[in-house]
Amino acid sequence: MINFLKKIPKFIRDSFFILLITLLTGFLLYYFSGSGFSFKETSPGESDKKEVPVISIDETKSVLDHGNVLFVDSRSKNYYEKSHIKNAVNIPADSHLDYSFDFLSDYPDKTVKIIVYCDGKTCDSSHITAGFLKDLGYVDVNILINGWSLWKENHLPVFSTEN
Amino acid sequence: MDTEFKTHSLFTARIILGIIFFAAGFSKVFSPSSFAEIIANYQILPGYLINETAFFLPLLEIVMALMLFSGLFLEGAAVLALIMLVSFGGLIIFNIARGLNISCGCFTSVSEEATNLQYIYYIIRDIIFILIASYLAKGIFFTKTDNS
Repeated sequence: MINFLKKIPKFIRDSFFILLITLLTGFLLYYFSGSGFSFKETSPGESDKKEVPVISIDETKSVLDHGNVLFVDSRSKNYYEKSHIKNAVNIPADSHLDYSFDFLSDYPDKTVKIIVYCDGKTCDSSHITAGFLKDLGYVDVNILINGWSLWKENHLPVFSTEN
Repeated sequence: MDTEFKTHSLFTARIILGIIFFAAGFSKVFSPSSFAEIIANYQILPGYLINETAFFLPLLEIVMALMLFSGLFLEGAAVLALIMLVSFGGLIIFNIARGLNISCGCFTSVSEEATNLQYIYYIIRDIIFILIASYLAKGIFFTKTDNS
């Protein structure tokens, strides 16, 4: 056994021991910390929320040029009514349930590419609305993080009631 | 003199890399939940591996830092450091290629968007770290060949 170990290059043996020490330390820490470590939630709703892929503004532009895409604005109605991405529909994250029947009847094709956006770097409403759309059965749901700001920065078409 | 200089420079490289890995690991080890969000944003790992990675990766960085400080299992630590730094650099470049502006999660578990300038900084920083790790790995293996 020792001879066998000696035949393995030292850097591989060392790496193996380091990984082993890490695993053991991890298990001991986890065992003795009780609930000291909090992990990412994996409840069904949260899991859906995180499984929604993020799309970049460049990819969005490419999709816009080459295919059929539906933009969903997850901001509140006030913001949406002032200005939004051209042809985007509004499903505010805080009242998304009110919109489900209308949305399902207006967009029966569950394979339509959907890009959900809100505004701000830490905005979470697009994740909530995107998770809701996935719950409704739409399969190609994507999130454009900080979408509204990025959209304006890139001078892409908007609807606006403001001058 | 030359050997002494080499010994000192290798020791310095070890300590610098140790500090880097310790800082990287320590900043994330107590908040695996936040770090998991960053890993999830990378959209590379399957969901069932995200929490495990968020928990063990910072620990691995700390263990490697301790090995680099102490000199135990040094060959493994140097090689692992190099592999990890190259992988991290690759992931950052991969993200830039995809146009995603997410936090690299290198020394923090706070998930913020990264600007293009920050990405350039991340890459330059990673290249410097890779150079240090390469120097250390080369030095360790070269010294070993000399001795054998």
